[in-house]
Formats: sequence, C-alpha cells, structure tokens
Amino acid sequence: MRALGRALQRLLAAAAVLLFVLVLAFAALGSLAGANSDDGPLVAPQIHATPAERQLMRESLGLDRPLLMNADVPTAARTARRAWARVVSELERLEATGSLLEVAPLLSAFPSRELQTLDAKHSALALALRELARCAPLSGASRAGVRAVSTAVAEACQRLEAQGQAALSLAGLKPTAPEREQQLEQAALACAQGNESEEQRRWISVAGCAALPHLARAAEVAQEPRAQVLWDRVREVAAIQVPAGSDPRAFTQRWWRRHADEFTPAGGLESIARSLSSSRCGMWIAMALRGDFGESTRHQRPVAEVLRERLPATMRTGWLALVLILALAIPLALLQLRARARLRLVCDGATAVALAVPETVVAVLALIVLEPARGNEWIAAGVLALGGIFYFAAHLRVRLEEVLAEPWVFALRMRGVKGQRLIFRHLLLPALSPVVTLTASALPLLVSGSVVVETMFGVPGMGSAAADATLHGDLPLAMSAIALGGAATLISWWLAEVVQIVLNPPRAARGVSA
Amino acid sequence: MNTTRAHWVWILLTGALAPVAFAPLLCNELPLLAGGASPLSPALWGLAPRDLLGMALWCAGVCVLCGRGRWALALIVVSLLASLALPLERVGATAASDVLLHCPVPYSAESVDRELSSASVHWLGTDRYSRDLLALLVYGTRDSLLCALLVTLMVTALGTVSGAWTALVRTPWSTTVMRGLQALDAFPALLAVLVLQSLCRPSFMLMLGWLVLFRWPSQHRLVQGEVRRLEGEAWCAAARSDGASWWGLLRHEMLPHLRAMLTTHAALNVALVLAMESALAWLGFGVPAPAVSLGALLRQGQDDLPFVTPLLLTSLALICGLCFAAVLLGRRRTPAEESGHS
Repeated sequence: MRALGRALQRLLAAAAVLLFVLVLAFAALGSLAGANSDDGPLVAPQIHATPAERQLMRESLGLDRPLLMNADVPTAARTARRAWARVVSELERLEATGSLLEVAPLLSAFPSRELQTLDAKHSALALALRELARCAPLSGASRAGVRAVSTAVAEACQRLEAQGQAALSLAGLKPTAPEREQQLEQAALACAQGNESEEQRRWISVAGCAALPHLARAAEVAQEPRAQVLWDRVREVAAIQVPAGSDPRAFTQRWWRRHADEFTPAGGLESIARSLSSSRCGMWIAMALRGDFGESTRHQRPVAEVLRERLPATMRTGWLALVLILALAIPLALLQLRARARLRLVCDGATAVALAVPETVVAVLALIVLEPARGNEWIAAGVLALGGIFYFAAHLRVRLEEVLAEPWVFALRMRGVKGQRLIFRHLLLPALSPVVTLTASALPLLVSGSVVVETMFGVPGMGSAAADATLHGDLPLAMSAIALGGAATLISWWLAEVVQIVLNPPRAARGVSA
Repeated sequence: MNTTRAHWVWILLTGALAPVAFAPLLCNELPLLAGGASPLSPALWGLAPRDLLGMALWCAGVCVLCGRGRWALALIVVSLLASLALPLERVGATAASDVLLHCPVPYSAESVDRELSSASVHWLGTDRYSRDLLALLVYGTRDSLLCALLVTLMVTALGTVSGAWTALVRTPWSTTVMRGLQALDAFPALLAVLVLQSLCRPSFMLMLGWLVLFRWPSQHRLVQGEVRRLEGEAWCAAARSDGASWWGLLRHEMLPHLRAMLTTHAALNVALVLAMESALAWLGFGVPAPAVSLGALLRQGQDDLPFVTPLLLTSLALICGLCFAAVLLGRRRTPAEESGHS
C-alpha cells in the first residue's frame, strides 16, 4: 500500500514536472523574435517583398481571415487584443530591420470586403489598421510611432466594448448574461419556426457572435427552408469564408462543429479550464498534449506529421541498441564476475576506455574503419550501444558482488548450491535492479534519438530531424523534439520507479534507488 | 608536501598541459620579445580573454598542487574579472622595430601561411587552408579544455550550494528550485544546447552558460542525495543542535565528507563536457570561428574522408586521450589502494 502510494506520488510529481517542461519549451519558443504567432515564426517581408511573401505574412498574421469580434463577448474582445498585440510585436520587429514603412501601406490595404461584415465593422482590427495607415507614415519608422498606434488601438478596443454594451441596452436585451442568453435562445427558436418578432430579429442582429450558439442549435432542429436560412445567418455572423467548390452549408456545419466551444458560455471548472486554455501558453500546451506541435517551417507540414515519419527509424535504431546492450552486458558482467584477476584487469581497462571515448569519436572511427552505407541502422545502433554495454556490465557486476556477499547466498552455498545454478537461478534476478533503472534511463533514446550518431550515419530519425531543424531555424520542430525528449525522460523515470517497486517493494518504498 | 603517486600523476599532467595553457607564447605570429618603441613583448600585449583564462587556470592548478587553494581561487576570480576588460580577439601586431625573439611556432590558429612555406617551418604540416597544424591542435586543445574546466568549476560550485540548500532547507522555495532543476534535467541536454546556441549570436561565454545550465541539475541531484544521507549522521544532528545554519553545516561539517565525491564527479564532468563540446563543435555550434576546438578540427578532418589526414587522427587521439585521462583521474580509489598510496 505504501509502495503504491509512493508510485502515485511519483506520478503526480512527474506530471507536474512534465507541465513545467512544456512551459519551459513554450517560453523558449515564445521568447524568440518573430515567434509571437500561434502558427509559428512569421515570415517578415523585406523591403522588396514579393506578392507571395506579402500573402504569406497576411496569412501568418491572420489578416486574411475575418476577425470574430463582438463587443458583448469579453473573450472575443480579448482575442482581438491578442491578435493586435501580435501585429504590434511583429511591427516592432520589422521596425528594427527598417522595413516598417514598407509594411504600413501593405496593412493599410487590408480593410477589405471581409472586414466589412456585420461584426467586423465593430472589429478592433479594422480600426487598428485604419489607425495604423493614418499614423505610421507620419511617425516614420520610430518605436514611439508604433507605441502610439498600439495605445490608440487599445483605447479603441475599450471604446468598442462600451459601444457594444450601449447597443445591447438600446436593443432592449437584458444586461445580465443568463437572462440575455434566455432571450437570445427564444429569439433563435422563433427564427427557426419563422415567427420571430421585429425586436427579436434586432436582438439577433446586435448580439452578433453571442447569438451564434443559439442560431446553430435552432438551425439543427429547424425544418427546411428555415434551416438553410439559419445556417446562412450563422455563416454571415461568423464571417465564414467558404472555399470555392465547397458546399456552403456543409462547410458551415463542419466549421461550427470545430469552433462551437469558443462561443458557448461555460461556468464553474469548465470556465476556469477554458480561460486557462485560451491563453497562448495554455493553447500550446493543450495542443502539445494532443500531439499537435504546430507547423514546421522547413517542411511546410504539421510538426506531428514530420515526427511520425521520423519516429520509426529512431525506434528501430534505439531498440537495436538496447537489445545489443542487454544481450552483451549481462554475459560480460558474469564473465567479469567469474574471471581471474588478470582478465578482470583487462575488462576494467576496456570498460574505462569504452566509457571515456565520446560517442562522436566512436562514430567517426566507425566511419573510417567500417565505411558504412548511408542510413545503416545496424552500425548506428552498434555505436550507440558500445558505451552502454560496458556501463551496464559494470553496474551489474557491482550489484552481483553485493548480492554474493548477502547471508542468504552463503546459506545457499552451504546447502551445496553452486556454479551456474546459483548464478542463474538465485542471483541474477535480485541483481537486475540496476539494469532496470539503466534500461529505463535509456528509453528516451528510443524517442529522441541521438543527434550526432543519426546525423553522422544519415539515419532519418528524430535526432537528425532535430539537428536539421536547428541548422535551418525550424524552431517549432526543434522545440517539439526537445519537449518530446523531456516528456519521454520523465515517463521513463516514473516507469523505472514503478518497476523497482514491483521488483523490490520494501527497498523502493524506503526510496533506495538501485 | 606528502608526494604520493597521485601527486606525481597530477604534476606530470600539469607539466604536459603547460604548452597548451601558454599557447599564445608557444604558437603566435607575434614576436615574443621586441625592441624599439615597445618595451613589452607584443605576444603578451595582445592577449585575448581565453588566453588569459587558460594561463590563469594552469597557474591555479599549480597553486592547488602546492597546497595554496585560496591563491588558486583568487587567481581564477581575478583572471575572470580581468578577461572582461580584454578585447575579444587577439590584438594584431604592434609596431615593433626590432624583433628580438620569435615564438617557437610563428603561427597562431587563425594565421594562414599565404606564402606556402616549406614543410620544415610547419612542424606537423598544414591543413587544407594552409593553417599550421600544430598551432591548430594546441589552440584547439586549449579551448576545448578551457571550456570543460570552466564549466566543471561553475557546475561544481553551483550544484554543491543548490544541492545542499534544497536538502537542508525545506521551504516552498527550495522545493520549487528542486522541481525546476528536475524539469531541466529531463531535457535532452545536447539538443537543448544546440537549439539555444543556434538562436543566439555565437559566443564562447554564452556556450559556457548553456553547458553550465544543463549540467547543473545532475550535480545538484548528486549533492542533494549525498547531503541527505549525511544529514542522518549523529555528528550532523549535533552540529544542528548547536545552532549551525545550513551554510555553516555545509562549509564546516559536510564539505570535508563531500570532497572525495565532488572530485570524482568533477573529473567525470570534465570528460562529459569535453564530449558535449566536441559534439556541438562537430555540428557547427561550438566555439565560434576563427577560434578552433577539437570537435571542429575533427569535423574538418572528417570532411576529408575517405582520405585519413593527420588532422583527423591527431584530433581523434587528443579527444580520446583527454577524456580517458579525466575518467582515470576521477576513478574513485578503493580503500586498499588508498592505504597503499599514503
């Protein structure tokens, strides 16, 4: 019971540390210049930006999509502010490179058709862009100019919120949220039945995004042709852009299923969870825990896809190395245990050499001597395993010597149990605890791979992917590899604890490691 | 001084490392002594921070061997402070009218022999960029060793203090620090340092900082475990009941018991950091150019494969030799060996 409690305690500690690892990874990723976008680092157009680069920046900043803004929904207002903060931080970065003046007219061209929808005319972004177009050329490329625009936008956001509240009051909607929700629900149901009043139509119009959940619910239960009208209304309020060739209704329904949570009010613990997960850090962690690490800038594909593609090679190499280590370390330890003094001295020397020589050197020597073909996983696994074989064998030998000195082994010897029977039937299992711990410590190798060995032998695994990402500035992929390696390490530590508890409960419960 | 076999090993090692530590006086295109307008020797006049730190660390090693630990500490602190005032790169030749004495190898790691002098001028020959091989190896070894030793020194100091603090003082702060270091320990260190190095402007000091950051948790964990074990001893309880603070307890009571373990781990740390630095330099993120390190030389030698060049062989041998020496020096001696030596 005590051991189980200890395992659970360790699991909780590992979960806390895992969360901290992810936060650290996010902080490293987020503190980088140009990494303020949720979609990864932005591509900054230079002085002579091509139309394609400008389009890329528009997409990176989210300016090609309508901003879902409603003065009545605080989260939407926060979203707008966050979107603008991203624009400002990117502008500050561009200003440092002297290309702000190039970007200002680019942004000023944006209040286009999609920003003129029902909600977008209230949007902070439209205002912000107008402010920017007005201020930026006057202020030149100065930092003070950008700050002035930023302040103006923040004030505009506050003004819009106040205006939104006033508009709701004027429309006759109840000021408190539950009552307002009830009113909106009744209005949406009336719309579904086709008997809505003029006042209810106005409520739906003013409430904008706040009415979306009710409209969508009503559209799901309504008969044709009202359902079609309601889905069109949802599309209009949410300013959904339907790609060419798609069925507008089917696309809107799919879009709503993905985004419904953002518009549905929540209470209690769910509201806290949603509030936490709406922060950038929270969103990144939630995405990372779901296996979604964003987009790789080098491969132009989701990071998860790249990682999935690379993982098998790393796991194959890692397993091979692990099997080699276990298959050779145990006989080597037994050989050292039974060897005479001179042979033991040779073994000690070989162990010292194998432990001292770095992996990089062994890999280069293997390249010189064996001249392996590119991507040879056997040689890579051998290089990875070399140090481990001697390391495992040394620990196992020490433990075997400890076990040999125990009184119960003496008793067994007195009863005539000797030789191989003594070792294989009685000694090996109790002496395996360091092997278990060391095997667990080697498990992260199966996930994160070895940067040097994989790069040197051209194994298309996680390690070489991470090194390649680092060399080419693909931060989402590099940081994801690090976070994944960290998570694998923590999980392997916990697994080692649990296996120790299973193998030797009293020793593990006392907190004695192998 | 009680000169044991271990002492002799240390004395021999220190002697062997002297040419590496005083590399600017051994391999330099600037003259050692010059007459005329400049009374100072130009080679000493144009020292870079790494040159100064290398010499200071060697002198500190000599002080430790002579039993003057405090002098060594003072020397390291002063040289660290002085290195901040020096220019980052070696200053070029000063105006010296009469050269009285040249350095034995008249090339530094950065100098290229544009005149393609005969083989007799270059003791070990040149690399493909016509740089003197001996100068490259001496400076490469110096920079790799300097990195390993400085990181080990800082990690040992930081890890000992933080490990003892979290073990002896149980407050929410110490628990937070402990969990933070545990989280840091979970990161794949080489990959994390690689990414961080790639993000910042390459710098020797910054690389040291990243290496210290990711080696610190393991030292912390080790010291914490050892201090917790020692905390249960009767003498420790007695010191506590006398009102000793955690710092006093660590400094006066525990440090003598921890010394053997710290020395062993420090030697192993040197080998580990050497290996890490070699891997980083091999991947192109080590000591920034034009400085060289053994990993960068290994990479350069490997690029010439399938031709096995002297550069490749010597850099391989040096990395292996240094790591092996560190592991051997760190090997904890058994009680029988201890009694045999003293």
